[in-house]
Amino acid sequence: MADQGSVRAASAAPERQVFSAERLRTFFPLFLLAVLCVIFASLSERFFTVGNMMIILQQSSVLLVAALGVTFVIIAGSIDLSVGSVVALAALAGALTVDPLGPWALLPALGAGVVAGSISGAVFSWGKVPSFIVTLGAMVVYRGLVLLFTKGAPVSVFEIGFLNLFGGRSFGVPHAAIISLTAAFICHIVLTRSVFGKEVKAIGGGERVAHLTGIRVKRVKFLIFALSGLLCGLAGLLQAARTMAATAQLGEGLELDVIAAVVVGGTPLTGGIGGIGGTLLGVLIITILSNGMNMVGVDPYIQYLTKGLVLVLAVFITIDRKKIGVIK
Amino acid sequence: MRLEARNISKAFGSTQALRNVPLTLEPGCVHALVGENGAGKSTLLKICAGVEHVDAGTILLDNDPFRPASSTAARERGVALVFQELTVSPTLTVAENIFIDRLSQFRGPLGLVSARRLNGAAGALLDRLEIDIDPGAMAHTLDFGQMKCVEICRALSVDPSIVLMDESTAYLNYTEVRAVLDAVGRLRSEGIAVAFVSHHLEEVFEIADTLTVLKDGNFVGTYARGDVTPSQLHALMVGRELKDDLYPARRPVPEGATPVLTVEKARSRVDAPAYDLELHAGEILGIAGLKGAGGERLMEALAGDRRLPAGHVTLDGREIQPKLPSDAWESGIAYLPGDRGGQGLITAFSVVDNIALPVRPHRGPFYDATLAEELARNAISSLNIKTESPFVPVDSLSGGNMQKVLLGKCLAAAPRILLVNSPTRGVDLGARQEIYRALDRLTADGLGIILLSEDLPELIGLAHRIAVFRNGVLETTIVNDPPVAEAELVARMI
Ligand SMILES: Nc1ncnc2c1ncn2[C@@H]1O[C@H](COP(=O)(O)OP(=O)(O)OP(=O)(O)O)[C@@H](O)[C@H]1O
Ligand SMILES: [Mg+2]
Repeated sequence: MADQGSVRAASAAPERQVFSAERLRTFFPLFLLAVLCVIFASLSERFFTVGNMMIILQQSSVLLVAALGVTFVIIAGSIDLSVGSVVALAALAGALTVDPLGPWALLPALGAGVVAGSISGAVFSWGKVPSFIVTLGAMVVYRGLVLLFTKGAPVSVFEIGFLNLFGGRSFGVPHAAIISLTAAFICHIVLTRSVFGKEVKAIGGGERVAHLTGIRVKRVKFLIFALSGLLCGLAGLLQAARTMAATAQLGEGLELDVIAAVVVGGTPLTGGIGGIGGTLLGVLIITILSNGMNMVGVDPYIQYLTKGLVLVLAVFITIDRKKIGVIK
Repeated sequence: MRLEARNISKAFGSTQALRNVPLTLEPGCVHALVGENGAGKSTLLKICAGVEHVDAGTILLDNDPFRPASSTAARERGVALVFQELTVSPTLTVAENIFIDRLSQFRGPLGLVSARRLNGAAGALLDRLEIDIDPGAMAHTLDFGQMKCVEICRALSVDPSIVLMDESTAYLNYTEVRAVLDAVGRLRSEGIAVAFVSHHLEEVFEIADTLTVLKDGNFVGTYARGDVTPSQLHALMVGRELKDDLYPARRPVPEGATPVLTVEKARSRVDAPAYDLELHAGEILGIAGLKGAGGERLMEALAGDRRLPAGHVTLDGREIQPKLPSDAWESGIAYLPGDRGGQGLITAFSVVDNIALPVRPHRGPFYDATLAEELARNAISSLNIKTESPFVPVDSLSGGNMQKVLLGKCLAAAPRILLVNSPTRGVDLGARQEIYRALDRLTADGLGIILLSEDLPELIGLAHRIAVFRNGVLETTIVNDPPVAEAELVARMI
């Protein structure tokens, strides 16, 4: 009987751990963000100032806007590797038209984003090519287009109305921060409150079930990529205003930061679950990690190392292995 | 070998799956485990097979303590489990699936697996069960029943002295069930101890020597087959006698009414002869036939999931051409697919989200969560779905209740026609009766139902007419009044 008692005690312990792991999972991104803030604030008094907070918001805006669309893509169980190139293409479209159009250069930029995203979406949905491959191809093709147009030379943006709208500040708050947070809020509402959002989650949770239940899966998938393109267009505008130019290298490697931000925010690559709130946290974590390490003066090589480790650690802790089942 | 489990207890979080349950498996004996969905049958077998670990209790194997760390460890001691869920890997061959964890036994001198020896060994096992499958075939070309047979072979491939079979007959058609029951009989005569789980009491009474009844994780009792009648057994499982018949009395179909749905000049294959079929309001039309005979094709075509090479479909006099499932739902055809997990329900979604999925209620661009909840609550009360709340994930429900959620999802769309494929797979007797009652009530409301099922008594018990398909052809349509004999139906099918 003593034997049985010890078996019971031994099995009760992991159960309690599972319970706390559940909590840890939900709150880990928030916890990580807080820890980073405390560490950097204790290492540099410049970190926790209103000025630096505004800089962080400004720095995170491009990443955030691009990550919003990719959150939809990933929740639907697909992937978008082309965001960096689409951002560059949209920034270029804006920069080339900014002189006649002024702030209205936003139309060609957003248009370029939507068209680029829609083409990927159409090939993916109706051409039945996996999104990984389609967007990998799109990444290269769109980057090639940008190089073709710019011949490698930057296209400068001097139009003051445009720079003010997307790169200026009001009452000390960067417009980029207002725009990106507004976009995040709208995306949050769309994902949680609209029929489209439900359909996106249903496709990620079980595409076959969604199809047989009467959801027009192909159309929804197409729209998701068009939306991702639109948001890349917006990100391109913010980026062009911030650097006052569209360059051939603009947005290179952005796709990896975007995916990292979405995943660190708790949206698994397997789809079906996740949200915009998590992505916002993920974006802040990645931005603050760079901002803080720069401020403290960490060796750039070590910065790479740290970012990679934080990414894997965050997923290691937050992933809900019970819900996912197969880890690919 | 003899397996004796004593006082087995096991909890998952706050659910006590088993409470002080005993189980004894004797060599050369078939021991059936029966109980409602969620009674703990699978958990008990998984514990014996090392897949789950006990919280408390002991297991003896020929009087030696047996505490397997894993299913591999249990198999090495001669205890093999055939899982309730399908565990066949579609991209491997039949032989590779059977020997999946022991492929190294078939290595040649270069360390490569010899397909010839592998297929030979697999072929021998398949022959032992008299199953006609090519060991070199890819598993994705098999149907559910054949996959189940592959899993049984996998269990037998370790030469076990104890075989645990968890609902191995649930996915099988008429002939395959026979094959499995015969195989179980053969195992018994070879002196193997078999544990057998099934919701079909006919099977249990045919094959089992002893029966153990579980109820809500508690041990109710162990009986010799001759000592209990089916209705007593049911009372032990549910806690009350099975009132009324399992099948409701058939309601008459309104005479002379025009059909709601007609199918004209349809062909299953380009070279198959054309057939016509019609469905009346308030009627249950059964579809019988072996796999690939054409019945499932017709149902999938009506659901918009595939197209027939030829044929016209009219609904309420209007011609419809469902190209996609969404077209079918919009024209009033709801489809309940046969594979609950893979096609019917999004398992990570809540009960509400699943039930509201075909409707996706909205006010303007916004999803109408209030209406969705109302739909779910209606389904929960009208179908008597047992769930803590509408907001828990569906995979926390028992099999029978998940099936009711699936039915509720189809009904939420207020369809004209309901296509139902195998609605009671792996569903316990009580829930089955409730699902049958629900289908009956729906016909009273004027719904037309097409029911495809491999469970012939179910088809005979529910359908007004039965369309029998064979080799892609509509062989005959039987008016099921008075009820057709099972043997006659089988004769028409093969
Ligand atoms: N891995 C698990 N996590 C949490 N709960 C579980 C798990 N496995 C089983 N349960 C719960 O334990 C109880 C017994 O489940 P079990 O699968 O053994 O039932 P069963 O008798 O096999 O039912 P069925 O006839 O539906 O297969 C159920 O309430 C079930 O929800
Ligand atoms: Mg079970």
